[in-house]
Amino acid sequence: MDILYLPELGQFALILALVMACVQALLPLAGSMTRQPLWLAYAQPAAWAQFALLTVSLVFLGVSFLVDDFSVAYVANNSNSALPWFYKLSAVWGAHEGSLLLWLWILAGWTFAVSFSRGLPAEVLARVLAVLGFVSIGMLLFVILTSNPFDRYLPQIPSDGADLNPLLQDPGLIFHPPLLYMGYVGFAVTFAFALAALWSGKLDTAWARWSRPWTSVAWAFLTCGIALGSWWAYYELGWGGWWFWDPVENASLLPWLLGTALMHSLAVTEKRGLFKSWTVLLAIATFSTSLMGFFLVRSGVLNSVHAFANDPDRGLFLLLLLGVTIGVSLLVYALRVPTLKARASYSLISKDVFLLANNVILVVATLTVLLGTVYPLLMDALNQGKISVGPPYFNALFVPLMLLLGVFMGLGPVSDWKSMRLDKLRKKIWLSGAISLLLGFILLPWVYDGSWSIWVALGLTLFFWVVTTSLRDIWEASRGKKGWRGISRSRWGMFGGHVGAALIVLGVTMVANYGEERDVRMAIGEPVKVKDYEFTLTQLGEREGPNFSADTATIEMRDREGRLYKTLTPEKRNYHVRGMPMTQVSIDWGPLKDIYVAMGEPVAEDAYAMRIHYKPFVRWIWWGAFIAGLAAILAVTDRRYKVRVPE
Amino acid sequence: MAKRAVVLLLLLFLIPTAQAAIELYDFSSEEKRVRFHELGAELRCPKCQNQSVIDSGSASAYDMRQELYQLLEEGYTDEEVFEHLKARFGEFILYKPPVRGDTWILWFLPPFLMLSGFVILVLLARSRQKQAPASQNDSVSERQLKLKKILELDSEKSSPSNSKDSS
Amino acid sequence: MKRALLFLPLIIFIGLGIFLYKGLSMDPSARDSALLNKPLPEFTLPRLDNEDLKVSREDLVGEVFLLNVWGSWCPTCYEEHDQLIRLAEEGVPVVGLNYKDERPKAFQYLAQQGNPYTLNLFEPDGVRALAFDLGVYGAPETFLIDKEGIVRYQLSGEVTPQLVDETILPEVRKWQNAQ
Repeated sequence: MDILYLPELGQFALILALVMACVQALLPLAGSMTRQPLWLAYAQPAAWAQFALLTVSLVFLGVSFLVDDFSVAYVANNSNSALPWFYKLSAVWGAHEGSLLLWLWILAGWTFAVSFSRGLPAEVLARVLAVLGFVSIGMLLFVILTSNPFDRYLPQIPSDGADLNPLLQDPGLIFHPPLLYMGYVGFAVTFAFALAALWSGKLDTAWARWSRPWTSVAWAFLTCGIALGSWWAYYELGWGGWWFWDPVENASLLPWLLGTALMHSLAVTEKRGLFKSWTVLLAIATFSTSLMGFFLVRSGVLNSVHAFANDPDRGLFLLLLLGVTIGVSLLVYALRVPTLKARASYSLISKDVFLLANNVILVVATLTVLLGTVYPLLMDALNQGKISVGPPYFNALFVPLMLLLGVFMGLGPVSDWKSMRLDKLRKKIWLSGAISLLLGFILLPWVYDGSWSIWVALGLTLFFWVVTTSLRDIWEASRGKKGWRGISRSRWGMFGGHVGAALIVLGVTMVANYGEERDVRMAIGEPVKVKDYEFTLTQLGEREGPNFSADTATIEMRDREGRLYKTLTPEKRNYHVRGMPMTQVSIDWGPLKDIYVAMGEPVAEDAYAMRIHYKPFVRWIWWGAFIAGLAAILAVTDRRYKVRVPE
Repeated sequence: MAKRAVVLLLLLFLIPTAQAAIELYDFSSEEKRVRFHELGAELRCPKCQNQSVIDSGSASAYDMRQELYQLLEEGYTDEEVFEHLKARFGEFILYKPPVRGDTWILWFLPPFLMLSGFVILVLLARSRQKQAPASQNDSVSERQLKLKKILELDSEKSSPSNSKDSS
Repeated sequence: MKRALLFLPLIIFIGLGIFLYKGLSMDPSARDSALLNKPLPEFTLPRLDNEDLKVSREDLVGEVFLLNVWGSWCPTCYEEHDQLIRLAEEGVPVVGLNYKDERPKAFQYLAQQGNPYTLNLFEPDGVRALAFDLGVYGAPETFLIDKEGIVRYQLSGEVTPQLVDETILPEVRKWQNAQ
């Protein structure tokens, strides 16, 4: 068998990329200190070279997978000759080493995009690229020294690979990591802008204006990435859950919460010149939590179903990387952020204050999630025993915070900057408030289910509150001089973002309170009634997939009148190489509800235990998130930014 | 290190499954069935990498579910169920952390931060407000009216008007 | 004053970093037994070698002994078996709890590996079982029980030579000499 040298070339490209990253970071730094403007100019070409080299590296890894080069350890551990080609490609980021390479490539990509920024002074751009270069250096060192995807199994080349974890053999998982990383890494850009501003000592509203589009795009990707992960967990894992407060999930939520706060804080800083040092701190903190999440997932410090490599040696390197990056940034922050108070004033009832309230809530929510996630570790380190902190804790503390946030989500858009009279505010919100309370608190819970529960009432009220106030805001804007066409994309973005969030609240409220599940025995020909529908098992069979065998079932779902509504086909697969059994659920999905069927164990010759879930409005959780994400992208295309939309 | 290796070896016996744990139990009442699911979701499978007893397909989760079923059928209250299992497997298996001395920070720091955050916010806004002159509180239309009047009366005088965006 | 406050995030981060560093050397899935310093639960189980003979808690309590949970399906049990034989030769009574196993396979295991056990309890089920009451969820696990029947030491995992020398034998001697 021929040995391809692509992996060696890929590795070489990595090393060259490290060199380029050094150029990108160190030359501008030196140039800035010694006042040599020419050196600043090296940042941009170095960034381009880094991107090109990392592209080469990533492509060569991908090709190694496609040609089944099992002499590369990473390919042998994560692929198999029977694996479909698209999964061979997604296996590139299916485990630790490859996903790191993807992360690096995405960082280089963002850097590449930032390098095209216009409307920035050249030295600001150079500084931003330099900071990004430093981050890249750290991660490249980590990959080259501890997590090289191009390591070989020589001379004993395995005859076939260990296959990609069957859980990851799914379309959703092809896109989930790239979307997430686009988000995590995207916040590095705002981080870089913040540090560049601290470096130069100029912290003005221009900095906020430049940072906003990058932040919004990163946020959009992260929102979609998290939503995709939640959706994937729902249909793939077989138990109908969509969020488990698992440490890895929490790790993705921390930068999302802070990123949301950051987006709003940047708006205030840009418009009013307020809260500058707070916004800078948020910018540093957001990327820091994204790095910290990185550490938590890969170091083995926490127990999680999602966790990647559990390797304490790598964990130590990562912790150092984390420590240096975050520690230095926070030190620079403490030393160089200006402490002069902004001159602008504001009163208690104002958009400024409402947005600040948003920030307070989101930061407390972030701290809550962080606290709950690391508390078992803290207790153990102090020898206080082992406890677990799970959904009961997080739900108890997080949900009220989000409900409170919803209140401000309604107040924010309709309020004025700087100061607003109470009666004016009242005039704008009384109708929304009344409608929301009427529908949410009084009518709908009874209409839907015939019973009343406080959580349903609160959730629905908040949904209507946000929707009606957002509609009111848009309607008022349409009465301006230019009418509907005069409404900026930025404003539509805000509308979409808030309505998307409200839809998430709707979905969560309904599914958490009205969702049901039933474990039933289904024998062929014997109908079972669940929630107004009749389920009949009509057939049991077997089939062979490309790399698995499956037991299949066909279930007919009929409505009250006996009409065939849908045919569901759950199955239980056994993946040959890893010997892993997996449930493939069958879902009848729709805007008002999902019906979800999972196959259990056979209980007799022609009967199986099945679990049937009823999940009302669950789709809105993900649709709402995607709407919010798209809205953020829309806002970025607003003409006033005059920067090229990245990627 | 050896301990870690052993735990990993033990984990080999837990074939990682994405298999929903579906068994059929005959509950004597609907209430017990509902409680089974609720309590099961609050109990951590002792051997898994963070899965609840109701979600996990592993053997130890199966044992826990069987025990949970028996306890519920025998009339144990929620508290008693937790105590019974805690006495055997430790606090580790309860997803809801206890509320006691060493978990005070866990439970009470967030609400405390929330309250303090809002208090600071209000105080901050109040202190800023004192700086602002009274005319700030007029709405746009009122000030436009005033301006118009002033301009009509005396074209040479003009008063500063604070422009307001509503976006 | 304001400048000093700005160092707060850094200080908090350093604190967190220290804990994370400590966390690297800890094992998040290892935990102490809930039975430590509590009495061995009541039980009545058949013997492995004779299912008509039952053994209960009173039969065992009275002298210091080790209770070892094992199964022929458990690979680590094979690894640690030599150490159990060594402990038996040192005069430490080792009682076996054959867990989730089948009799023929268990006999074969003992025939092949040797039998350090003074006696073996047979428990094929995981529910309503002594193993469950002991908080066992896998094998091997080893408990040290003192003269009053209180659990004084618990180990999840392999009995290594180092553990025998450094911990198990000293603990056994300690509780044997205690009043």
